Order: sequence, then structure tokens, then C-alpha cells
Amino acid sequence: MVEKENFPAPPPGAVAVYDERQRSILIGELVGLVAFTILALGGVIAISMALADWREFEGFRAESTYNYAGIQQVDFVEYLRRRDQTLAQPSAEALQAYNVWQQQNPRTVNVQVLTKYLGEEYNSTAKVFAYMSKYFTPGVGQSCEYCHNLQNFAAYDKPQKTVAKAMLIMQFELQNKWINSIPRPEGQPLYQLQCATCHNGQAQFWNSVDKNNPTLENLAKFGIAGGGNPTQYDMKHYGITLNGKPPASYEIVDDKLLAARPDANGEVNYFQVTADKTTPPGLNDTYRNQAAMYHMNVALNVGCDFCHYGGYFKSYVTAEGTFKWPKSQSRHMVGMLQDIAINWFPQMPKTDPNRGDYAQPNCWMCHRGHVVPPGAYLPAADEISRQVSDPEIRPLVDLPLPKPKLPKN
Amino acid sequence: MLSFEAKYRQEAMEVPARASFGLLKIWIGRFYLGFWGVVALVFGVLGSGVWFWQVLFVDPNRTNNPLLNFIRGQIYPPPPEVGLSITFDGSKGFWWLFVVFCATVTFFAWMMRQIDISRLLKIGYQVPIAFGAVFSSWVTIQILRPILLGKWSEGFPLGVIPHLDWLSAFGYRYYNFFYNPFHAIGITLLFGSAFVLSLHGATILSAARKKSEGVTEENVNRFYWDFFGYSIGEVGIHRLAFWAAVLSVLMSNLCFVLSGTVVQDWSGFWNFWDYAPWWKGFGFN
Amino acid sequence: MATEVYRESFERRTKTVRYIRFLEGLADTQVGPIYLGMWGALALFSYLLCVFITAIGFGEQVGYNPIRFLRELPVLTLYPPPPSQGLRMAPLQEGGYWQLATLFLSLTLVFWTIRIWTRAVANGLRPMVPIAFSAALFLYAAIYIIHPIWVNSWNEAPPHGLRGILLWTNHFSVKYGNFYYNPFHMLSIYGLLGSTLILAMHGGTILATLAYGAHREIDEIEKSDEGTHRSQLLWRWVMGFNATAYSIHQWALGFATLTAVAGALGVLFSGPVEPNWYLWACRAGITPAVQAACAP
Repeated sequence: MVEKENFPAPPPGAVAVYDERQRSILIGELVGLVAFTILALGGVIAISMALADWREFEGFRAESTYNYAGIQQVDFVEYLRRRDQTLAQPSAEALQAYNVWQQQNPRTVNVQVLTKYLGEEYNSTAKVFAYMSKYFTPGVGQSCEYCHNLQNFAAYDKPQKTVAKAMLIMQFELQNKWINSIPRPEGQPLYQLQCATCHNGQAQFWNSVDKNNPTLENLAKFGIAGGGNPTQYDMKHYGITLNGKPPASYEIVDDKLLAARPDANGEVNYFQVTADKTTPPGLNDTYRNQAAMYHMNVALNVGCDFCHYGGYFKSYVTAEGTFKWPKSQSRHMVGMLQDIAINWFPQMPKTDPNRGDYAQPNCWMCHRGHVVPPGAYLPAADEISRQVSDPEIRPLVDLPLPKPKLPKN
Repeated sequence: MLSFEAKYRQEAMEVPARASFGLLKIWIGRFYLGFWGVVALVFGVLGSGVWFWQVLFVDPNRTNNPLLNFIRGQIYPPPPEVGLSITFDGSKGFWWLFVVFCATVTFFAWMMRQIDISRLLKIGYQVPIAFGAVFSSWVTIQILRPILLGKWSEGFPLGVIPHLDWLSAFGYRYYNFFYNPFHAIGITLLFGSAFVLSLHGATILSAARKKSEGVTEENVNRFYWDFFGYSIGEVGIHRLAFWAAVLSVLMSNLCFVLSGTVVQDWSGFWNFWDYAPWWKGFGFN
Repeated sequence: MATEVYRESFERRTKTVRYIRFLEGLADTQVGPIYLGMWGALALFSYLLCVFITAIGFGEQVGYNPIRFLRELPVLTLYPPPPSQGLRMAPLQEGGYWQLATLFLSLTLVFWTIRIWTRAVANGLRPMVPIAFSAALFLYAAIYIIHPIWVNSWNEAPPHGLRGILLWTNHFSVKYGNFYYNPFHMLSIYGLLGSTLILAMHGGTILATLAYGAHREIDEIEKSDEGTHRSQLLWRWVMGFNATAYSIHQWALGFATLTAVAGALGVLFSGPVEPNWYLWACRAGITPAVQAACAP
């Protein structure tokens, strides 16, 4: 403040005098401001760190960067470790039973799916065992006896085995149709779907929970409460329906998505683009968009600018001309979600016939808060599936592939 | 010079110099120079000069229209790969660093010059303090936060429209920036400032130049008591003005610095609310 | 500071006057009396109705459970009718409540404006405060009334509720092609940030010259004294330009009004005039985006 000795006497009627009281008030304000800032900062940091405990994905690293470069896959073992889980192995009892079985049956008895999609070498029991203990056991977190009768591995005593077989067909079909055709830049590896990709180490996970009774604990991992996540009330008022009712907030597949089909040019709008003269009045479509987009944010743990050029969401290209591969891939993936929802989940058998329908698939199911699903695999040479013209489970509706968005030139 | 100015310049010349204040007590026309004025001038011209040169002559996206280039041109920050290192290769964002450096020095010198002038006029330092708040925003966004995140690329490009683009992307990068609590506080104070300004401007204009009708600030008091129940007074309103404006900027600093460092998803940030301990036992969870 | 309570012939004020000692030296300490009057009574009644209707709407969403109400208060939202309803009076549950609440809110604001107009005139002042408020009212009307009517859909107006407003700002911008590229939005932001700047400048200046009595602005306007002189010289020496005690308040009002009016125009021109502001910016050439990023 100005030194007192240089200060002229205040004119009559002056309200404020720079006396000690004024000075102490001002200093008090400044100190209060600093203290508040520190406390507020501390409060935010404390809350953020507390948040990191129960949020499913690993919180506050910057896997989302404005200038996306070189995403690494989180290893599945590491993914499990962060949940205090370990990779499941066949139990000692199962191994013993297998050894007996393998001695008696060096060639498989009724393996059909693996031989059809992967080749004749899967007529060997040992080969099948190797494949199953590498992918099935850790993938669903269960030892062999969960599906198999240990005295007769070929038998379909348990409903789990029937379900697993159907799911294996679904896995290969989805791989062949959708994953193998995903638009990607040069150098990006091609991953394989396996049990772990969806199941992530659990036989039953929330997607397979009766959708009329999802546990709040599982929903919490999805960030159901607060933020941009819509409630059923919101969905109802924005006219978003699934089978005529407002979907749960984690259900990105809705009536509109189920009905979308590519036109003659292979163009399809799974999510209504909302920025041209033909757009009808009302903010409902935008809301639907944003709710779905927020799901993608949470499912991949990326900011909006990972896929989008923030200036113009419709564009596949940034202002500088960089092609946004993630947006193109995301569009492709949404087509896959549609396929799963229309063709595959309705045909999957259930272990308990009294349980309700499977919940709709969504991005979280596989991505679990990472750009590359932790349960996806880079295959060995003899683990790459091939096209099969007569799958045992056929699609209910033939969904044409949309034309992929690719960089021009 | 203004009619009354001469005696104040006289008075100013008699204020003794201290530290860096009060050196070079020269006026160029109506502008005061001072040591800090020289610094501001030199670095200001240097930084602006480089900016205009880059935007008008070097920017790869420039058009034939200089006015359009002024609006759309930009200097790009260094790419993320270089981190915080300072490379002297023009294509790797050197000129961005140069202009940011010049600008920082210029703004700092501007603030010091305001202190200098306040000192000469024997008035309080609220104006440079307010400017200091805004200066702290610049430093926070262009220097502090990039250092915290380890990359110069986190700063914004130096361009009129491009920095808007950056701001839009920045918000979306953290999902939904409206849920950032410090952003909300900053916006409340920002809109509040516009509101307070509107009120104050209108109030004074409604009472000004009506002395012949016997209008004094007592009328203003009564008007506010009538419709609002409280009249903050002629000193109070200026305190409110100063603090609302300065605090809005300081809160905004916080909203920036916390994004990307501590919090990645402002939407999900609020999830803790539903699981707070005080809601236990009501059967919601 | 006058402490007398005064009455006019038939309009009444509250009798009690309180003093906040804590504020002594910082601001005026007197609180009250407040004036009711006819327009005040109408505004109060209308506002209470609006709040009541909104509370009912919220209450329904939480099953009228008070604890749940508190827990979810920040996210409770009263939505406008869906687009299929157009401009009709919608069923209460499907946006009718929103329509009623907005009607009463709008009436409240109109009554309030008339209230402050009559109070200003009754106290011998020019009605500048209500005129300034009208600019904000114009912005409100543009968002809640004029734009929805122009596009034939109440759905485009903001819902009531904290989360609802935040959703609306996000969605409105996304729908119309990113509001950052709306030139009226740019102008409005210039006004907003400029207002804050001018507020800081003016507040700081007066506080800095308090000892010279610069805060007695009405007197300083009639005859500028040492306080004003020093303030003017501060800015003249710093930036080569200074206002007067009168004109600074014109700058103030001007910037604040610009904020509201430009904002209102930005909202009004969205849709029928320009459905996508980003593409407009592309056509105007002001964005450095490459051609491929400007494809409609």
C-alpha cells in the first residue's frame, strides 16, 4: 500500500482512510482468498483421489490426449491384477481328469466349431485343451468343470457347455464379419475376439444379468449416478425408447439404432447428425446423441476429441486435415453392436431358462475403460478364424455392412 | 496534456525513485514511459512483430487476404513429442515459445508500469492487482499447466479463431466442462460481473446530472432499498466490482489447472455425491 | 447513510431496518426497508407459483421423499414438451408443467421490470436500471420464447433445473454446429469478458482513489475533483486514453448491454437463418480448417 508519510490528508467527506483497519481488512481478504484457494484445491484433489478407488477404470491418467499417438493395450493379466484378481487356471482335479481323458481320446470326439473355423489340427484333444485353457478358462474365470462333465468331456450335461458353444460361434462370426473388416491405419494390429473380450474374467457379468434387476454395484462402475449420464426419467422425456420403454442409461442400443440400415450407398446414420437445414426442430436427437457419446467417453476413457474434431463433430477430419481413424472405427463398432443386439443375443441359449433377456450390448462390455479392450488378443498363426459359409447359427436378419469411412486419397 | 495535468506531473517528478519504480520518468505524448515502459515496448513490439510476420507471411494456411489471415492465422505450439524441451527449429514450435515469452515479459512489465504510475499518482494499487489476476491467467494457461503436464503442446495456439477452436476442444476433452465446479464458480462470477456492471452503469447514469432537481445518492439508496431491500453504497459497489471481477479470473485459473492434471472427466467427477456417507442408511445405494 | 424510514401515502414498506455491523468500512450496513407495491406483489405471487410448480415437478421425480430430493436436487429437471407437441399446450406430465412454470417465470420478470421502473421514477431517477434489465430480458425471451416459437417447438427451450440448463447449453450448441463459430456469440463473449475487464478497471480505479473521494461519483460528475483527476491520469498515462466520471458508466452500460443483446441475436439467428455456424465460418473463410473439414 502507499506509504503513510507520503499520503495527503483525506478531503472532508472521504469515506475510506488507508488506516490500519483498512489495511488489515485488505490483508485479511487476501489471506482468506489464498486459504480458500488452497482448501478448495485440496478438496478437489482429495475428492478426485477418493474417486479413483471405486471407479472401475484407472482414473486419472491421460490415455486421452488431444494429440492421439500410439495407444498401448493394457495387458489382460494387468487388467485383472488391478481388480485384485488373477488369471484363472484349470483346477488340479480338472487337470487330472483331462489327463485321463486325453489318454483315452487323443482325437476329439465331437468338436465341431473349432475345427470348422480354425482348421483340422483342432481334431487333436491336446490342441483343443491348449486353446481352451489359454482362452476359455481365463476368459470366463472358471475351471473346466464349470462347463464340462469331468468324466466325459464330450457330453453336453451342463447347460453352460451349450451356451459356450453358441457363444463360440458368435465370437467367430463377429470376428469374421466385423473385426476383420475394421477400418484401420497402417501399422495398427488386428486383434481377435475371445471369451475374455466380453467376459473379462467373469462367467456372468453385468451385461448378462437380468436387465430388469441389474445390481447397483455394477451400475456404479458405469458411473450411473450424476454427471452427464441420463436417468430413465430423462430418457422418457427425450423420447429415447427400447422396445417401447425408456432404456437404462447404460443401454446405448435403442429403438432407433435397432432400426437403422445402410442405404444403397452404404451410408447409415446410427446417431442422428444434428447440424443441417433438414434437421427437425427439438433437441431430442441431440440429447440422444450426447447420451450415447458420453457412454463412449466412459467406456473408452477418452475425451470427445479422441474421435472428433471438436470444431465440427460431423467431420472425420481435423482442421489440419488429419483423418480421425477412431471415429471411423467407432461407427463400424456401432454397426457390430447392432448386429449383436439383433442377431446374436436373441439366439443365445440361457443357463437358467427362467432368467430374463440378456441386456443390450454396449461399448463398455468389451472396452471396459480402455481404448483397446484388455480382453482382446493378438493371435498366433493357427488361431486366426476363417470364413465359414454355413454357420450353425445363422443371423436372423442379414445386416449389410455399412461402407467404411476412409481418408480420401 | 489535460488542463489539470501539469501539477500532477510536477508532483510525480518529486516522488523519489525506489527499486525499479520511478526510473526514466519520461512522457511520450500522453503515455508514461518509465523503465517498465521500455521493457513493455521492446518485448511488445518484438512479440507482436513476430506474430504478425508468422501469421501474415509464414502460416501454411494463409490466404491472399491479410485481414482474413489476421483472423484465422496462428502460430502452432510445439508438438507433444518434444515435451518441454526448447528446440530452435522453426517448424517445431520455436516461434510459439518465443512469442509466449515476449508476451509474458510484456504483460509483466505492463503490470509493473501500472504500479509505477499508481505510485507516482499516490493512489492505491488495486488496478495493477486486478491486472495481475488476469496476468496470472495467462501464465497459468500457457506456462504453468504445460509444465505440470510435461508438454508445451498443452498451451493454446496463438491465433484469433484457432484459440477458440482450442478452447472448444479443451472443454470436450474433459467430457463436459460445464461440470467443472471452478468453471461454474468462474462463470457465475463472470455473468455476475456483467450484471453488476450493468447495474452500476445504469444506476450512475440514472442519477447523474440531475443535481438541479435535487437528486443525490440518497435517491439511489432509496431506489435500491425499495426494490431490493439493500443498497450497497458508493464505496461498497466498487469493492464488489473489484472482487467479483478479480475472483472470477482466479477461480478460472483453478478450473484450468485442475483439468488434465487431477481430473480427466468432470462429468464423472460428481459421481462421488451419490455415494457420500451422509446418504447412507436411506436405502438409496 | 439515512436511517429514517419513510412512507408514501398508500404504498407500504417494511418497518424494520437492520444493520450488518460486519460490513462497516466495506459497504453500507443498512438492510431494509423493502417496498412491496402492486407490481412487487404480483411479481412475488407469480414467482411463488413458478417455484411451486417446479417443486411439484421435481417432487414427482423423487416420490416426494425429502432426503432423496436433497440428494438429487442438482440433477432434477423439469423438461419442456417433446418435439411432437410443437407449440401446443402439452399434457401436464409431458411438458405441461414446464409450460406453466415458464409462463409464470416470464410474468414474474415482466412484473419485476415494471416494478423497478416505477420505483426508479418514484425516486426521481431516470429509468436506466430497468432499461438495462430489458436487455437481459430480451436475452431471456430470445431463449425461452422467441426462438422456440420461431422453430415451432417448445422443446428447444431450456428445461428448468441446474442440470437441465447445463444440458441445454451443450445441446443447443451441438445442434447448431458449435456456437464458438457464431459471430454474435463471439461478440457477446467479447462483451462478457470486456464487461468483467471494465468492472475490474473501474472498481480498482475507484478503490485506488477512495481517499480522494472519487467514489462520490454523482458529485464528481458535476465537478470533477482530485479523485477523478488522478484516476483519469492513471489511465491516460497507462494506455493513452481516459474516460470521465460520466462516460465510464456509459462504457459500462454499453458493454453489459452488448453482452445480452448480441447473445440474444446469436440465439435468434440459429436455425432459420443459419443452421450450422461452423459451416458458416468455413464459408466466411475465418476458420483455418482445410476443405475436407468443411464438408457439409
